[in-house]
Amino acid sequence: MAAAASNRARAGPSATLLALALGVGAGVAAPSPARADDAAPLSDERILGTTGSGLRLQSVTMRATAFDQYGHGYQSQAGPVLGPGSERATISEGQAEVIMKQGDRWTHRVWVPVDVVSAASPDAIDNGPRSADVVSSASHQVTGGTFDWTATYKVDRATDLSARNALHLEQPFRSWNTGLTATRSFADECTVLSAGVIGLLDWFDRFDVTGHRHGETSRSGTTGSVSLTQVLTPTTVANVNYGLTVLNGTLGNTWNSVPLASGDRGPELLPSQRVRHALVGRASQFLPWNGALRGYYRFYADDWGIVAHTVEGLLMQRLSAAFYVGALYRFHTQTGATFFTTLAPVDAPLQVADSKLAPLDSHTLGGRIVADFPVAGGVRALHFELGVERYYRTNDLQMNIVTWATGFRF
Amino acid sequence: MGHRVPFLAFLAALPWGCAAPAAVPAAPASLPSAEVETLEGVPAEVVRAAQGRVALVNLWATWCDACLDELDALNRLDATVAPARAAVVIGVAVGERRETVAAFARRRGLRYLQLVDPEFRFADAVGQRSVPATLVVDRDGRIVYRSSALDAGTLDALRRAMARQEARATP
Amino acid sequence: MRSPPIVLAVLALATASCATVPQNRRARLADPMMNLNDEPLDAYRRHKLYDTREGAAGGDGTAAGGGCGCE
Repeated sequence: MAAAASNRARAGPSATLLALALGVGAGVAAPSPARADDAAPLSDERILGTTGSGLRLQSVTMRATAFDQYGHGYQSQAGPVLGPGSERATISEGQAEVIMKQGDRWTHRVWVPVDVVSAASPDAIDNGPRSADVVSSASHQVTGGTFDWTATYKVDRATDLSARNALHLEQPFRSWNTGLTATRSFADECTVLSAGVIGLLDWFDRFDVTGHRHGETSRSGTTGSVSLTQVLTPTTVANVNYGLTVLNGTLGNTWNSVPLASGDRGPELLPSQRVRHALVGRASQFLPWNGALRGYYRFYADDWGIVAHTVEGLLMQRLSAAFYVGALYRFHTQTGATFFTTLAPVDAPLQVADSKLAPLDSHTLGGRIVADFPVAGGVRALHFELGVERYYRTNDLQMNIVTWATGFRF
Repeated sequence: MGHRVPFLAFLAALPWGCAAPAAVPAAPASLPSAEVETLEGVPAEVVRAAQGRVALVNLWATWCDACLDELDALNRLDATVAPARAAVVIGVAVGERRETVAAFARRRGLRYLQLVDPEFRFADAVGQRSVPATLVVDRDGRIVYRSSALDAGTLDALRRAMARQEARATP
Repeated sequence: MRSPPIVLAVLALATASCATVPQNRRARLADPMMNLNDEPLDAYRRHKLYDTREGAAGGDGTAAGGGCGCE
């Protein structure tokens, strides 16, 4: 093929009478005559293809994940009255994502995750002798799904505006969030600055620690974030991100319980507001042996007294043009909420025994293998990924995760 | 708390310090005589490959998604203009290994002339720092149009250059 | 907020940030291995994992809150 092309180039110039076939007028000054004539071989439509405003599929990606969790937490009633109860849970999660282009400026992303959860903690309430109501059928198995649509408009070569809307439905729980993001690149896309705001509204049934339902309750949240991505060298890119979140309303699961010094269990008593700060730094470095190292650091602080540091490293190695493998390690450490307790005095103004608000460390170890196969024809590439992870938390929680993804690029 | 505001202001101001474009190579009016190579490894020059014809020169790379979006259109353009030798479509893969480009061109069925510019000699000499980039070159080697995309404007420029060529060839 | 080590990283980034790398020299950066973020569906999967198991997760640009069922 290449030789033929070379031969063609060597064949030498040849004046032609192609003008009529091309729809080109003989006059040099004629203003783009072929554009008005779509039948001409060199018309925009014939060469560039359809450029109308219809939707064109860019990619379809699906991911299936299984989470298998073991452990105990003091908020759970699936155990001794004053001891930690079981946090046994299994989660099956399916996700589908479709990305479409519309015209030259619009990109739409439609994403639907569905989670099927079976958890021991609400089960214990539902099966308890005092239970007058159930925590819906959520106590046995709950299915939650989200419809998430993001529309991105390319204002110019350097500026994108995105609007996002999502609706989440889960048996005792409904949630809606909406967001706007503006992204601007500078210096030939060496620097990308992004700023966004997300608003969130949750409504859910208020169940007490004995499983009785007391109408509905809600919470709202607003997150503002700024992000800066910078190409540092031909093999290094870095990003910093700062996010501020303010939450208001009922900020916990209303059926989570707290062991009391009286020998019984009481409800969580939480502040009605939480202000959270998160500062994240990321960097990726290409390695000379056709690998890459990604580093991540996150600092977190909130007004409930939690301060956290998280570091993560992902080392990847390309095995061939199609395959690469990766190994992940993540370490997280946090202080507990100032009102966290495993045995609260009866008259405490604030109390929580939720194990995720305790002082804790966690480790995640994982591996993945990724394959991208270029394909000729209508599908440009196929993407496959298999990942396994082991999560271990120092206050008695462990989880095994297996995830599988399949993608089509058009 | 005291230094949080100045820190965020510093973050916000950071990109503006970088917004000024770094030194951009001068964009010449004509195709430079920078050495590239064919897929067979033979030294070549883009201006010689055009052989005195109107040329559409597409600078691209196999890793560039926007470049890949244009390949089918370039194939169609080549199929339209090549048989009558009215113009020539030339792909110049920049910063790539010859073997990589050859395998890719074979797999994707690229039928137009492919040259490789592994050391960015041609790209730098012609003043193009981005891919994709499209140049329309007249029969005298003058660059009459530059674009970051193969679009209606590019085809317009190509048709005009071909019309001028035809006008000169007609007695 | 005390000065965390990330501030030093940002300062280092700032001093280097004006060295523009031409777009056509970014082949290595285009490799999928170099993505700074996880693929979005994988990111959601990880967000779900950490958000319901670590009180310090979230608050950095992703939607806060979420379902009750998986705790």
